[in-house]
Amino acid sequence: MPEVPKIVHDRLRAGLPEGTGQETAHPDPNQLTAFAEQALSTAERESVLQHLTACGDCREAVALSIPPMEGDSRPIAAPEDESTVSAGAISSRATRGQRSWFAWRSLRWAALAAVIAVAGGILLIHPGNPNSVREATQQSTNTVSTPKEQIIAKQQAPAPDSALDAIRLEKKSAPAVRSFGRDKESGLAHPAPPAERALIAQAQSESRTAFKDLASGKVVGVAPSGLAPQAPSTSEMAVVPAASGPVMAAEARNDLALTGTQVSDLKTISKAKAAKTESNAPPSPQPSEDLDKQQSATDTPARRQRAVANMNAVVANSRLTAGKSDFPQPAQYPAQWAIHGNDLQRSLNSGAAWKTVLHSDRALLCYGTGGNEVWVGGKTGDLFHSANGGVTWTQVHPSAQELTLAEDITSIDVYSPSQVVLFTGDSQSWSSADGGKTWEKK
Amino acid sequence: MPGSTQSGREEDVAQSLYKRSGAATYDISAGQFAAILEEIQRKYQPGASTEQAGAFCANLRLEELALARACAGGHERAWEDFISRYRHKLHSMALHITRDGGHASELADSLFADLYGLNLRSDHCEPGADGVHVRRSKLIFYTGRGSLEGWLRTVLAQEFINRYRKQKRMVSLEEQTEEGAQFAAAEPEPVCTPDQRLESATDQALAELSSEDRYVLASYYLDGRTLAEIARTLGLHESSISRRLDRVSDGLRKRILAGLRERGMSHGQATEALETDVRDVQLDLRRRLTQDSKPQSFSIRKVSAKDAAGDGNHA
Repeated sequence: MPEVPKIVHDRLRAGLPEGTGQETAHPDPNQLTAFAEQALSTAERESVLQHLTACGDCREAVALSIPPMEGDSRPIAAPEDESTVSAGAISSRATRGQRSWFAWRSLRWAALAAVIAVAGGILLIHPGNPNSVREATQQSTNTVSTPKEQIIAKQQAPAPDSALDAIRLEKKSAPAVRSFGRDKESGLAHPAPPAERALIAQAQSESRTAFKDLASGKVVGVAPSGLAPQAPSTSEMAVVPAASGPVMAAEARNDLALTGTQVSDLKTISKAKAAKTESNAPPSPQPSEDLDKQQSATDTPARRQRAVANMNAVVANSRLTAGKSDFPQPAQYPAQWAIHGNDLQRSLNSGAAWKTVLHSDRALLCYGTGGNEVWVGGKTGDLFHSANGGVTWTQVHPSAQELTLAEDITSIDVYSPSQVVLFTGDSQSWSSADGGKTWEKK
Repeated sequence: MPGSTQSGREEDVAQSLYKRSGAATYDISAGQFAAILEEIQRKYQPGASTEQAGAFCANLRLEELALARACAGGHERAWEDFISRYRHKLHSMALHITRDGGHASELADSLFADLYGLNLRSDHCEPGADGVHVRRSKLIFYTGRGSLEGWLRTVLAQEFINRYRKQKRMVSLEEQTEEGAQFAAAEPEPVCTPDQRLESATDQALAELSSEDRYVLASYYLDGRTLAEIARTLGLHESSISRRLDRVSDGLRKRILAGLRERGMSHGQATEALETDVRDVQLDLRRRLTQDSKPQSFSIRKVSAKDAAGDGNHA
């Protein structure tokens, strides 16, 4: 953040000079509450804001009266030396000091940056033929077969560039975090100079080996293009989802096949497969379709309830450990979310495996989470809500004063299980203070 | 005739608000509830028209208002509802504010006593007909502008701030001694008056900002709030606050520079005055003057010889 000159601090602290109309009486707790809940009229809000600008105590009261975030699981620390710092500074410093760099919000961006860096590195080391890239892109958009099948088909064709095509195909099928970085590789690719042919051939052979292992289910999370396995690091965390994209996509398709009738309805989507927790363990050689059939055959309501309870426990556990300063164990990672076209995908193991938990008829654009509360917004006002970490979903149709939300939802803020604010592409703001039952448009 | 139509419409509105509030479950009559609404409406919108008053009342948290007023009136079922809804929340709110289990319990219990009307203070009690004080619950002050939970949180926060200020004023001598601060003179504040032109230019630039921009500046730079905290207070996105801070800081600097030039400074002088604050220059004049006035007890030659010997010893 930019620093402002010291004189600005001093003059802000001193308050505005007399005669500017800022010397108003303290607002009562009702007005401060209504201000914090955005329930004041414009004129009243302006009046309260004017007072707050000049009154540190009221600013303090407003800041302290904001409810904690759902995912805010900070341990309660003893206050510091209160004789030297203000009450607000204590609270604020405690908040800042206990905010971990490894919180999922930070990791999300770190993972995105690492994915972009790795993708760029791969393209720099192995620049391919633009024609083959275009073909691969076309094939990936036209073909609806599973990525596993695509890879196997590519392996059977002994063309020299097939492995590189497969890499690109695989990267196309990997989930893009919040839809960033789509199709960037096709724009960056350029023909390889003759001097690099030997390097490319070596990389192709290594890639083929890796994809054979991948297709046989032996390897999950191997970096493509001959990147050697290294000690755990943040960059490797980003490589893993890219490599496990086909496996994830295959799982997603199986999920959709299992709940196909419910997906078409989209009113309430029950995930019968919630018991199947994502993990870092390599997938068994048994085809996943067979597993799904067995699982769906043995599914009972009691088992579903247990599965939901397990899922909630995993999410809660990961949330509790997310605030600690030491690096969390893989099993305790908080849920990560990614939007891929019309699908919302979730990973419970730091991106090693992704699972489609929601499919929409139209493109999804954004999501907001707070604890087990997940809100997903999309094109033309599509809005979905899950109160149990993505296990079940409900479509919500916000309307206020005979107006229905029909604009693209571009941002969602979740403040508590009951309070959520949506922002649309044309700068509308819709807020609900009762978990989406009633809405207010601003 | 039109008058009767209007009064009929008002009665309909009052009836619908009464039904919405569920005040009947707490044995509050429609007339009593209408009087409560009228009192609140007069407090916040003294000269409002009938339509405005109706709209204002419709936006109140009627159900929570009925509960609070029923509790204030000592209704048993209302208190059961209140306790089942807010008791645990009140403790967790206090914990969130104080960040200390002991203080949180103390704060929450104290507020509960106030809400129940146990703390009989001169402003919270009324002499009854027979001279006995009648308890008065703090819930009588809830007006339904925001949620009851939010109101409780705000009251807790204000109580916490007041207590903290009281505690700060009442530091015992033993504590001061332990801290080594007993009878210690206050650090002399360096008396450096910044250029009046700089002050007035800054005041003018700040006054030109919107209230919300000033609030964002004060919250971020004075109170040390995070972007997320400010965003939640204003109901905006964190990135909006970040962008606004960038924009306001840049604009403020430019406006102050322009103000300084209007007050007769050149561009260079204005930039220097803004960047270099005289209060940043830490000069201890007393010490410097004392050192300067010390008599030279030995010659420079002797010092050099001693230094040389010292160097030799170290080597």
